[in-house]
Amino acid sequence: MAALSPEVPVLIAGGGPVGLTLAALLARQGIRSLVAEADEGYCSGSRAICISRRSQEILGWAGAGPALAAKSLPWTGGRSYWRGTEVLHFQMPSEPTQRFAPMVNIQQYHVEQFVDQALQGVPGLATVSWSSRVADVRPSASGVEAHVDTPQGRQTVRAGWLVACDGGRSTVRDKLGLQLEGTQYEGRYVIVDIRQKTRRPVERLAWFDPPSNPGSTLLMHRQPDDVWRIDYQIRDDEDPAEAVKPQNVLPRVQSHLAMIGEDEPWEPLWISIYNAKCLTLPAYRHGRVFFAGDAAHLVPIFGVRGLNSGLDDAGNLAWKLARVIEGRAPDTLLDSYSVERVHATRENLAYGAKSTEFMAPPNFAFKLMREAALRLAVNDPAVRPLINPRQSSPIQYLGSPLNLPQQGEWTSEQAAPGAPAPESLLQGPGGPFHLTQAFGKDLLCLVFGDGALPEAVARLPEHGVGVLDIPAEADPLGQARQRYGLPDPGATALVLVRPDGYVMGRWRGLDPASLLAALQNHGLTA
Amino acid sequence: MTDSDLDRSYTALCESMAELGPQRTQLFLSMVCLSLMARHERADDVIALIGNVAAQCHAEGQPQNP
Repeated sequence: MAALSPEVPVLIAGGGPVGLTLAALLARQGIRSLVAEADEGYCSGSRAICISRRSQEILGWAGAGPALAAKSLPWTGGRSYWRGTEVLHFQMPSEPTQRFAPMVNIQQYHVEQFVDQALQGVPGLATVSWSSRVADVRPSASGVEAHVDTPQGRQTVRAGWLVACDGGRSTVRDKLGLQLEGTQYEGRYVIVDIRQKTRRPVERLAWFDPPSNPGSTLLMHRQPDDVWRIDYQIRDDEDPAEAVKPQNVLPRVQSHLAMIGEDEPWEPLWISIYNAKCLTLPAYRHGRVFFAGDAAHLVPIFGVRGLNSGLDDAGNLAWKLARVIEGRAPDTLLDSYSVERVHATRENLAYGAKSTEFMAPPNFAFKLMREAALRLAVNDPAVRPLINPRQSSPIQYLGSPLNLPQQGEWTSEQAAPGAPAPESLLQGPGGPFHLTQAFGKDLLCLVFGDGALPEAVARLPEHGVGVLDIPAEADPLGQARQRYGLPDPGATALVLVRPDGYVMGRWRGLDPASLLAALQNHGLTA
Repeated sequence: MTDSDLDRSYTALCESMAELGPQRTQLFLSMVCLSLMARHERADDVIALIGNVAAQCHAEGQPQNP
């Protein structure tokens, strides 16, 4: 193995899915990075499975889109059972004009592999060094010196910036003397991956107090390669060390498979145990050091926002870091990473806590009311929303310093500044395409016009802002106009979308003067 | 609800609870409460009501065991 590059603009500690994706997004912006991953290769076992619509978009920017689409299993709904009765059948909002399924299932090691393979397409820009553990970090005002343990011994890397993507037990966090803050839930879940063929459709399945495992809660998710992921809660008085032993796990699994009529031969692949955590650093930027993914926050598994929020962290940080490195934005732009993503984490934690209150009730009161809700749900649809796992959606950056003021009248808040820019199915000269396909690299001005582009708008690229003209004929379903809040088909507007696919500002009319003034105020130059 | 409707509902609640027996009171009342809550118009009213009941219970202190 070659020695590590001694100097690099960005050092990424941790080559899991978040670290690798960040490297890919930086490469897309033309920024070189080095990823130091302690393990020899991709993760093993059962980790993140559910990839949200937004994460599919981000992984597309990273170059892993086609591989992910080919391998992953889309799903749109699920069923919940209490004892022997189905008490909930939910469908996530999804329509045929969407670009991605609301959720797809795939093993984390496949995600890592796909992003790593994409990185191999940009060797000059992204290097992944395996068996390389960041052991110590010395940040300063002008950069970070890192000591990395490799098979060749300890090497020193000087980086302009360090991003800690080194997971729940982050070494970088430890070396900086930082602590995650928050709480943990007592309820423990055993995770089991098994290989077994099935004819069941791909759905999220949940059982409360099933005859196969009385008193327990059990979840099943289908993964590629004929794999089931099974999570079940152990009793409060069970010893976790005993609970993961195969002789205590396999009979419970067999009992449940028999109950639900899955009788194909099966083999266990992985067993581990976890408890839900609601933890975060109070800030994700410390000078030249950033924290992303599990190194920054640990959210309960039931909200399905662990890896998904980590990928959102990478999406948020990459364009900002690139701009600052290139001198196209002031250093303060990077403060907004922490403001926005800490806000997002707090929303995700609140959301995850709600899911956890139902999946692992933290005290007698939640336990009692869950018993009430499950029983009522048999006959009473009014209480079924309590059982619905409430799926993931990207967080709106309320109060972000990057949100520009809105100007004019709008008929929808879906595309307000700080909101993820809504999807639309559009019609171009080459056929139909999705609006979000245009996101992910530069600032982009969506133009809702009524004819030829005004010259000032056509010259926006000189200021580093791309232009996407969406005349009425390109918007035949009217989705864009409706979702972006234009009151009628003849209304005109400019909407500025950030490279991470979030709305930055919107203005009625077609005069970009306010847009340009706002960019100037923020120091965002071409 | 009129006074006599309230009477009828109150009696129905007590009689059903008595029939089920003290061991199932908690579950029974939880289910009735949740069912009614799910039908109420405004969450703010429900949450205020919950707060008032909790305050009253706190003021009274722990029940003496018989």
